[in-house]
Amino acid sequence: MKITVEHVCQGENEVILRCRELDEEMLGILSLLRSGMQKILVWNENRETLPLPVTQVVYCETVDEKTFVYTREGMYRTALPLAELEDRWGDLGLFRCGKSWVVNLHEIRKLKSCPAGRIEALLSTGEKLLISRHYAPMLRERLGM
Amino acid sequence: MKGFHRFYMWGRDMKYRMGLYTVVAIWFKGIVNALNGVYSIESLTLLEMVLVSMAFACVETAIFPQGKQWGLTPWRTGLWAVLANVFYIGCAFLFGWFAGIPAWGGWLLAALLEAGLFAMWYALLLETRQDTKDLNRSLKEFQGE
Repeated sequence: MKITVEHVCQGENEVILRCRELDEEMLGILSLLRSGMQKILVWNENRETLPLPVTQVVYCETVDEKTFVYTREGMYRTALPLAELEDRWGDLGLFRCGKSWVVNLHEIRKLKSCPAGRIEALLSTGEKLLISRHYAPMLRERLGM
Repeated sequence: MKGFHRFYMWGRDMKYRMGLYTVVAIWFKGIVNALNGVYSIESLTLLEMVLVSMAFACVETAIFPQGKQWGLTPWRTGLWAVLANVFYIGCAFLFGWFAGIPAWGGWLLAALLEAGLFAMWYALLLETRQDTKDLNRSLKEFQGE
């Protein structure tokens, strides 16, 4: 990929992405550019990109180094890794609850204390996430316990 | 030094458990002796009860390591209950702690042991339920509800 930086004396800063198609590399760059906002740039199965408000995220998952974002309506992909999702939007409720999971604490309907110090989270979608005993103390701390 | 500190803390935890089990064993031995018109307990019997309680407390700290929330992990709880029966009923027969009591008395003591184990399990169950309530209260506070 060719990178060109042009210095201009006037006008607003501008980034133009010129590509034949929006492949994963381009989508990743787009999401990095737009992640400064309170929205995550995601793309759907038709490779249509859209800025997703963080408040709509229920949970995120990594499978084979790909990050999937789940909302109540559907599933999307993003180029951002889980650690970055938590770093950027931890204040809005995104919490790393497992090696492969980030959950939106505002989308948890109920929590249940489980054997061996684990915690089961019932999400607004009806799905259940099991938070391991490694991450459970961090969740308690995050909830102010 | 770190290893010694860990051993010291383990010993402190084990000692409380050993003390509890020793007191319960001596209490029942005292009652059985009193019902038989004997108002003393042999030093050797006391020593046996202390050593058996220490052995069981050591095993218990291995099943439920200190500082970790094990809660009601089924196989750990089951193993603990089985070993409690093996240690105390087995040693009562082996050392003749309750020799001379009628058969129904033996069954009564065994039933009391099971009731004691059930009471401890039930306490863990209540603790788990309370933890679930605390988790959900903290979650609702976090979510601002």
